[in-house]
Amino acid sequence: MEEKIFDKDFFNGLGRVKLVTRITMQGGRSGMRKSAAKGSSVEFADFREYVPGDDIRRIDWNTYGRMDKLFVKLFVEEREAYYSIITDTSASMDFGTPGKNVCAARLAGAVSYMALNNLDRVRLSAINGDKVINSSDFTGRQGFNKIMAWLGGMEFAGKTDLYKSIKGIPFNQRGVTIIISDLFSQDSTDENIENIADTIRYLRYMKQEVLILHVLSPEEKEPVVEGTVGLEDTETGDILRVTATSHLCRQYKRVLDRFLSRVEECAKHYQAHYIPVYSNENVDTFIYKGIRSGQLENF
Amino acid sequence: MGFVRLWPALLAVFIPGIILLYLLKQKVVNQKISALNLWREAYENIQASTPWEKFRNNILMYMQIAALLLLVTALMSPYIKGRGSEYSNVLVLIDNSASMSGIYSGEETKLDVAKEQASDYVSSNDGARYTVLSASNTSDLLISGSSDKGRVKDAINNIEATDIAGSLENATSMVQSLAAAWKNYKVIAFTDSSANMQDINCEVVDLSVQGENGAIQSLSHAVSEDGTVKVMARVDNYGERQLDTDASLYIGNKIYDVQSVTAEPGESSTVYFKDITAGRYNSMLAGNTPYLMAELNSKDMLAGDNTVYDILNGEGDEKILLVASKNTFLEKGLKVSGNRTVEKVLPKDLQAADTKEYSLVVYDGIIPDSIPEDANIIFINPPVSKIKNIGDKKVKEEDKWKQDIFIYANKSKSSIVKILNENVTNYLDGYSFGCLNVTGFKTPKWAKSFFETDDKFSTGYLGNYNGRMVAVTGFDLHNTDFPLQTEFPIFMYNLLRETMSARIADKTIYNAGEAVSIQRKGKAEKAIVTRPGGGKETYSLDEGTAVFTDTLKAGLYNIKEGGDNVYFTVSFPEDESDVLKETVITSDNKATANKAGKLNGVVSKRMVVIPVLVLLLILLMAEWMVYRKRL
Repeated sequence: MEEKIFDKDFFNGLGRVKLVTRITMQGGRSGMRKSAAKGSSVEFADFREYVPGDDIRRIDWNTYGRMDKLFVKLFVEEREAYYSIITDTSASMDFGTPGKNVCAARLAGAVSYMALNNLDRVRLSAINGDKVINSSDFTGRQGFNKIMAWLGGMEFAGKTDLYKSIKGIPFNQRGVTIIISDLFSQDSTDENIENIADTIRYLRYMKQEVLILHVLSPEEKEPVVEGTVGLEDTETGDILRVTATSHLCRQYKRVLDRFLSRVEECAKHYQAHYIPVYSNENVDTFIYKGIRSGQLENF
Repeated sequence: MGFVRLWPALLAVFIPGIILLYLLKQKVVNQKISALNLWREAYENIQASTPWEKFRNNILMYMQIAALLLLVTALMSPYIKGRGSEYSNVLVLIDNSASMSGIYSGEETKLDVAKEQASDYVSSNDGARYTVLSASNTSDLLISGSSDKGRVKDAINNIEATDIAGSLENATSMVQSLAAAWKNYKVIAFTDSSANMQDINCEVVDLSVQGENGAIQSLSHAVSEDGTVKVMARVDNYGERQLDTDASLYIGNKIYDVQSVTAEPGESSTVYFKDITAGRYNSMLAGNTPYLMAELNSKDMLAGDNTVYDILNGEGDEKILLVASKNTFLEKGLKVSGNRTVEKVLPKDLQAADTKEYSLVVYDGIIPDSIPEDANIIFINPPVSKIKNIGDKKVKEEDKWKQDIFIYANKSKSSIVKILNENVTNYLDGYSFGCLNVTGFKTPKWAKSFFETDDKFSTGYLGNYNGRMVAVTGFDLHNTDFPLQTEFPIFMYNLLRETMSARIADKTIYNAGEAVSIQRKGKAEKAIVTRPGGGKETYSLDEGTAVFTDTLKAGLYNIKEGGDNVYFTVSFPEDESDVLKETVITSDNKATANKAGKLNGVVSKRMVVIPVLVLLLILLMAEWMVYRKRL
């Protein structure tokens, strides 16, 4: 990618928000997320009767005074969350001005930054065809430099089958999976929706909270096609000769809108979260959309 | 629907160009998009919802082709034609006599208006068979029973204006005979003169218009004894107001004199031009301008009668030789020749006389041994003894002329001489006289008989014999009372005119449409006639004579024959100048006189250029809107 992905404006605002997870963590290292385990945080969870061996510093002496029994205070164990950020690197993502690939990298970077900022663990995956390239896990703010380098090295080419490639990613624990894609992986809308549904079902099965960041370019939203043209698919090279009439353009927009709403419905149906993002939007817009949809919240 | 012109249809060759441009345009553009599936779906949806999508795709091309076709149509000046004719036969009769050359309105002549209306009628009435007649002093059938409108209109448009006197009357009998063969017909006649259209289903379009017309006629000259020439002409005012103009006399192309003329409506005025001196006159005769032209300077409705010519024939220079012993009748008779000099010689002195300088030699009672080389000859009463057996025997070459001229038939002691109708017997119709000792001849091939005996032989004949005029009469003038009758000087005048003037053309003034008989003079092989407009026609003189009939226009004509140049003039008919003459259409209830000058039943072409252009404009706007919408 020749375009500069992470500029000064990118980091503005990212520090003020954090990602919201709705699942409780199990396993993993300690972090900032609530977990099912009881541990040594400042957050009160419960009382229980004292048994020998308990840390006597945890005995609640006020309760002993009232009840004449020894009780110890239990606190919530805070663990780190595990973020899998999956980026579609098919050729269709290398389209538009600004390019969807740049937008995808920025989104991946933004989400990673927010996660690392929240002491969570991040793993990046680039899917292409039915293959996947996984990064190592990144933690801590210092890990973000590596993430930037990793994202900058992504190559966008070929086709992608979302469902098949995602199967190549190991999901060893509960976590959040963020898919950044234009979702044009199949030859028809029906097949696409089917593919997306399979993907979400699989991820849900793998105990993942799913967030789909659907990236589209402004040219896809408002196509600029004139006269009789051969429309060439960037992935397959197929050419469709059409005479661009306003009628055809209107029809295209109708088909696109229906596709977006079907993707959203599908996501809702399988309890995934869905945010459409346009490549000409800046990070603030993404944050605004994220807060509106409940996927982001202010500290 | 018809078109005024067809050549813009050639512009339709650009249509393939437009199609080609679109085909070429379609090949050039290829545009990358991220994924095709949404577009494919949209495209399929459109095709499914609108079966005319392919048409819609190329609608701009179709609109441009339509615009080009509309432009071509507009350039072809389309018009809407009228209805079908209610008659199966339509006869178009157009008067093309001299008066029809008069102005009807603006610059259009009456004949132009007639042709235009007739053409419009033909254009706007389908399904009829058309016959076209032109009428002046005779009628010409130009096309008969044709349903080919193009040919019919061509025939109408080719009717030429003439300076011939005449009216539709002359065509009436032909129209009646044509109409008799048709069940369902209509005659459309155009004229500015009176017409009698009895029993003909006819609409006569009266094209007469009142206005101003002056005519100059009868230009004449007289040579005085001192050789000066007096010239005069008559100017008639046929208009409604007083004529006040100038008359100019031209010698050659140069103006010689201008005289002012005034004439009250319906009156005539005589113009006397300045005398022409003898020297000038002789130089005109010697040069190539032996004619005078007078012209009225005012512009009026009829231009043809504003010019008149007079041919100077140099009569005063011609000499006649009379070879006779004693013949007072003949001497007196020859005096009607006017200014010509008549010289007399006795037969015995004939050898000494030089016959070369004479235009005419009259032999009375003798046959010379040889005849003059060029001169015209009149033989009066040739001796029977010399000619009786001449036809039977072989003669020397130099005497062969005798065999050719005299073909003896009989001799009768007395006979009533009957006068036959020929030019030489003009104004002598029905006259006859008694005569003693009459020689009868068989008429030679080169001559025409004008006197006939009881035995039906000729005793007077005239013709062109080897380039000269020869006349023979077979009786002595003393043996008849003919010289005592008033008809004799008329006959002598005619005889002299026919034998002397008929060197090449038989007279100098003809009426329009009259045939001109061209005689061979000397050994000329051909005659070239030059018309007033400059057109030339060549005639062979192998037969000794030729007939020139194209005297349709008034003016000066020239005949060139060998080294001789002869002029004659065709005069404009006086009757045709009268524009105030009321037109009377005589008819029974079948014929209608259309005084308005506008033919009924003509649906004039309704030009639809403007609607086509408006349509083109609307189409272009629509095309622009479609184009904008696509953007």
